[in-house]
Amino acid sequence: MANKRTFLLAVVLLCACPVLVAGCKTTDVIDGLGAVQVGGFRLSESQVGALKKTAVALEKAFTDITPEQEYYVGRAVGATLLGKYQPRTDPQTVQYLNLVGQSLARVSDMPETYGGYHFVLLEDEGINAFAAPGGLIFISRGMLRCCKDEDTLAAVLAHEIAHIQLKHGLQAIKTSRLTSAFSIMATEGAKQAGGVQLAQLTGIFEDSIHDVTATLVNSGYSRAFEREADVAALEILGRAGYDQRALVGMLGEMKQRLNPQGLDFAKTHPDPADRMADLAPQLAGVKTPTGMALRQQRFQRLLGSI
Amino acid sequence: MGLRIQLVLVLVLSLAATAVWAGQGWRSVAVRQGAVRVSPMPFGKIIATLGYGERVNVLAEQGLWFKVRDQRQGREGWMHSASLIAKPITLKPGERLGGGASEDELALGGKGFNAQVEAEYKARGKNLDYASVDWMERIQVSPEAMREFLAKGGLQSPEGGAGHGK
Repeated sequence: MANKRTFLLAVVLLCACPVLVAGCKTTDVIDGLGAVQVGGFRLSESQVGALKKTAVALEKAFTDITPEQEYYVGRAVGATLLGKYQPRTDPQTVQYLNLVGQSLARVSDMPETYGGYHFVLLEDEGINAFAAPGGLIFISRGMLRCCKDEDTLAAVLAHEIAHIQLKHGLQAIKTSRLTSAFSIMATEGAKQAGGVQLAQLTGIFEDSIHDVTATLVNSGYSRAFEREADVAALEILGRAGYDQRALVGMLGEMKQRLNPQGLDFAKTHPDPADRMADLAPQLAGVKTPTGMALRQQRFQRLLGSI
Repeated sequence: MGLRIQLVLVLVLSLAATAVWAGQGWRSVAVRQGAVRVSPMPFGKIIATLGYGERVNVLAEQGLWFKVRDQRQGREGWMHSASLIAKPITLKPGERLGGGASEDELALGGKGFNAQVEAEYKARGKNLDYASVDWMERIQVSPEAMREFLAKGGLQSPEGGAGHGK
């Protein structure tokens, strides 16, 4: 008898799941059941409660960060970085940087994001590059100086695109913050967030932005995340037709220029030598692509004097 | 009605519901400007742009690309699978949503970190340069400029992508 009841519970859940995925709330479906009479059995209140609990858990898992929310997180991280560093706005630099960036983003595994990819050069002598969630990418003048040609610049940008594609920035947000945000959103019901809830959500938002920017600017990602981004960057460079070895070339140049005590990449990234060692096996047999000299010329012409 | 028949009925109903879901084959556009291309290629010609939350029916798959038909106007083309998600996207009341969402869905949309939270955060924040973020978001490269850039740099063919779209 008990087994049959368990079976029926499973059947009800099975029925409810597709409805949930198709857009209705499972909890509503279950609420609608009222005094549950399934297959001749009456489900006890505790059984209905258990059903509701499972449905709520399903809904929670479902309420992931949406692309729209990722976009707002990225904008806030961008506003923080741009509050600290001045962007370079001359049209020639902006256009060229965004052409290189787009040629890479479009061949990545995430060619489009909610707000799109946008690239900017920061007037900062430190060796830095940042990717805000959602597609805002920043490279410092100091980092640009480590790039001897377009392929090397592409390697830096491909690495940052990889961080976005792999959602590394979002993963810097503490899970507890998201759990709190989701519970506020759940109590919010069908109406817009009221004063208290808005204040609470904004507080969580503020802390989340702090988690991301502190990771980007101060603590850096783990070596595992950096390795993951380097591997994805190689794939992107290869698909776009750029020299995959440019990533290693850039790391070598960075190793030369980085001040180990510096507050830039030296602090936030693993030793370039370690990253180069991680990449070496992936580059065996890689051939030199065509057009490098053409790209080198336009890089020199457009960015050589910066 | 015997218990066995009732059980069979419940089971059939559940399977039917699952089948309806599995057979729907629709996706929501998860980006603000989702490009519908003539071919499953990163630089394929764009024949339509779909907005966030609009729905498409999936007609075929090729690697990371889906051949789709948009539910509102019936236009067909290729979209990258990363720009689509298999769940309904809901917007705030007043915002336009493609594909005809129910009132309930509309009301439930746009929650969490949204424009309202951003405005509140901006009011509280120090040293935040949202004007520069807005400027940055307006940066666009035209398809013509992209084509010329690729050709002159010896990169991919304008319609294709080296090793992509397999």
